[in-house]
Amino acid sequence: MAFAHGTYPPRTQALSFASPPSANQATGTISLAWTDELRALGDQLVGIFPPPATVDLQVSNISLLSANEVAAIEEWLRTDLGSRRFRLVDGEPVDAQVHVTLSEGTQGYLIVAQLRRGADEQVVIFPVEKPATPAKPVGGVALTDELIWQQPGNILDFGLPQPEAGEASTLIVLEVGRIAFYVRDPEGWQLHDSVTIPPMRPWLRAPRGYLDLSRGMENGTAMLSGVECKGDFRHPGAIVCSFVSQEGAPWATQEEWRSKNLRSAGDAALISLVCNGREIALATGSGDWTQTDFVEGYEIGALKGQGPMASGNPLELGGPVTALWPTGTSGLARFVVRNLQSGNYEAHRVRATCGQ
Amino acid sequence: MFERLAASSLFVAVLLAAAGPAEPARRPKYGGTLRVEIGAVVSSLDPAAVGTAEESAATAGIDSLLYERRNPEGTYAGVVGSGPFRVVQFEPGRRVVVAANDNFPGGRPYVDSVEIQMGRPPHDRLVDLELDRADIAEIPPEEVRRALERGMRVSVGLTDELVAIVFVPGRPFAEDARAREALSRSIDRPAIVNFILQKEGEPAGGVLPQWSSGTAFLYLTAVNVAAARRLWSEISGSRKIVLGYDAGDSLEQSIAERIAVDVREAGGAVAVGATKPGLLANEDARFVRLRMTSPQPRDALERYLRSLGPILGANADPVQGATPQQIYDTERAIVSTYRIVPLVWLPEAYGVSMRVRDWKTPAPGQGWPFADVWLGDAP
Repeated sequence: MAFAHGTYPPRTQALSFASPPSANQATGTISLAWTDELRALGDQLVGIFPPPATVDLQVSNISLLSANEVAAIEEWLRTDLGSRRFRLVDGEPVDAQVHVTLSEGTQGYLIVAQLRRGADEQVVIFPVEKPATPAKPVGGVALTDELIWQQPGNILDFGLPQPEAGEASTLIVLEVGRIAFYVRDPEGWQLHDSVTIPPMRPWLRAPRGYLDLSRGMENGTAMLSGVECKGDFRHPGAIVCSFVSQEGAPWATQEEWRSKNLRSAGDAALISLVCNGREIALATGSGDWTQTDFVEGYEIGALKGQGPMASGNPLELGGPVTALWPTGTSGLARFVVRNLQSGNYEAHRVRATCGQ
Repeated sequence: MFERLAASSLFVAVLLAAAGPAEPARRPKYGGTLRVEIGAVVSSLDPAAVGTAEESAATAGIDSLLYERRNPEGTYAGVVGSGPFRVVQFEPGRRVVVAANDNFPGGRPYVDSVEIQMGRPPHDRLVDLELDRADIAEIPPEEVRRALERGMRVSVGLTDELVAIVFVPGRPFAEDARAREALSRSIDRPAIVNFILQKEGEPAGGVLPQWSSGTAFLYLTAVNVAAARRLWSEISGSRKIVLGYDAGDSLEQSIAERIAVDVREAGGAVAVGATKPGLLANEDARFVRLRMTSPQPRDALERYLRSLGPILGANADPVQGATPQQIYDTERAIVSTYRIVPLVWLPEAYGVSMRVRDWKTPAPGQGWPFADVWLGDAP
């Protein structure tokens, strides 16, 4: 999906689940996206082979759907066709052969049905949008991910300050060359204002950025490699940018901590959370930026010589994490992912809680 | 076919991961010269210059370094110097050196410069990789297995280049639907992939690959000798179909010779001959190589229709709509004419030295990602 400008993430396919037509035959559940298209296939079959036609139905899978998902889809389809008074039989003689292949391409999943009667064959295709990956159950440190925003351009960091009573929520996105301010309305996040950060020197290809709102919106700071923009972030026009030294930059401090405490990680951050007497950090994988990545909780050893220990299930992501920062709120961190499939940069918030 | 693709991708991922550094190295380093070797020869940096398919692909690759803007049809344009690199030296047909553009809006590339040697034979490219005289080198798909056996770090992308035969309009065989179908049904495509391509590729029955359209499995790729024999028997006369291949393309030559054998076994006759554009006057059919300029099936199909329109004739209708059903119907209509006979899908493959980091094989329609790679220490 192409975004001309930053846009609020499109409403994802509802992950509510639909039961097959006859509850007592259900072994699994499939999403509404599938049932809608399977129902459309059934409608088409009714038009081509009017019931009570005898149909030899075969279902095969060449997509990355799991065996359980395929079984649930096949069962739903068989139940639906049965409720439409088709007589499903194996082998000849039949009025029609229907071979359904579950496939996928760059546009998503496909239900491809080859309908044969005698020597005639017709192919009908129904696209099914790929759903977001459901969260896995967790033990240890449990992570809950929330996608806040996505855009084609690089997001260096972002902030989601607590709104004042009666005021709309604000999202601040730090980009290369710009601080963008979005305000939430019923339609989603809308661009409200922006501050251009002058290129005081050519931008680096992998610039770093950090948004510091720990002293309130009125004393905000946006730091980039070699540039610092300060001022009252409630009034973007008052923000002033200047050249600064990179010494003591937050990413340098973070890197120093990581190299001492979590050498195996890519990026790492303490998140002001203690579970079982141990400090909790979040860390990314150490692959390069061409690979998918994850965010995982670590228990940092309380005793000298005790190493960090991975805890809970990692949050699997669709691309490399390019920034990971604590928010200052206990257990809450923010991170940016470059989604390898869409090419978009995604701003996420992750909440870590102590598991059982 | 799909499982094989997934397995292949996984294999490459494992291969690259195994070759990666032991210590975390997420933050790139700046500096150094990236040494690249390609087989194509680019004789002009004028984006409007016309060349062979291989030269066009190489030109597009170089243009992707020099220009910021990419046109929808896959070419690059705009102001020279707007891209991540600028040319500092160009020896037509031999060598081009580009330097990092410090003012590139997308950020200065990590490497200081890229030196691209052109016209390097496949064997020389492999040797240079082994001797650390090159950092990145194109590898023909049929050489991938050999490179892996020699312990090289190989990156194989999606199958995005279609090798096909097209019938030359106006020639007698081009107007004989039975001859076109007979040729198509005589060809053992899986054998071409297994033996000539050493399993680095996929048989093609349609003009879009499975990973893109999701419907390629609907096209048969297996040889059908019985049907072919029946069709050949219905064709009057005993004249041979003259099949031309690019004189400088050893892969096309191997495939052409294999097809001649297949057709003979099915009762027909094909004479193969080397040609250069416009030189072999009596060819009935010839090879084409079509590279996808987008991973999206509709965009790729539109591009094919534009470039093959005169050959496909009246059936070259534009793609009506963008649903998978509409795309499939258009593709099926094209393939059913047998004016184009899809053969195999080829992947882009590169040998990559151990010191190259953040390398990602370009996806269909993407330029060379030299601005994103950086040079680490060789392990």
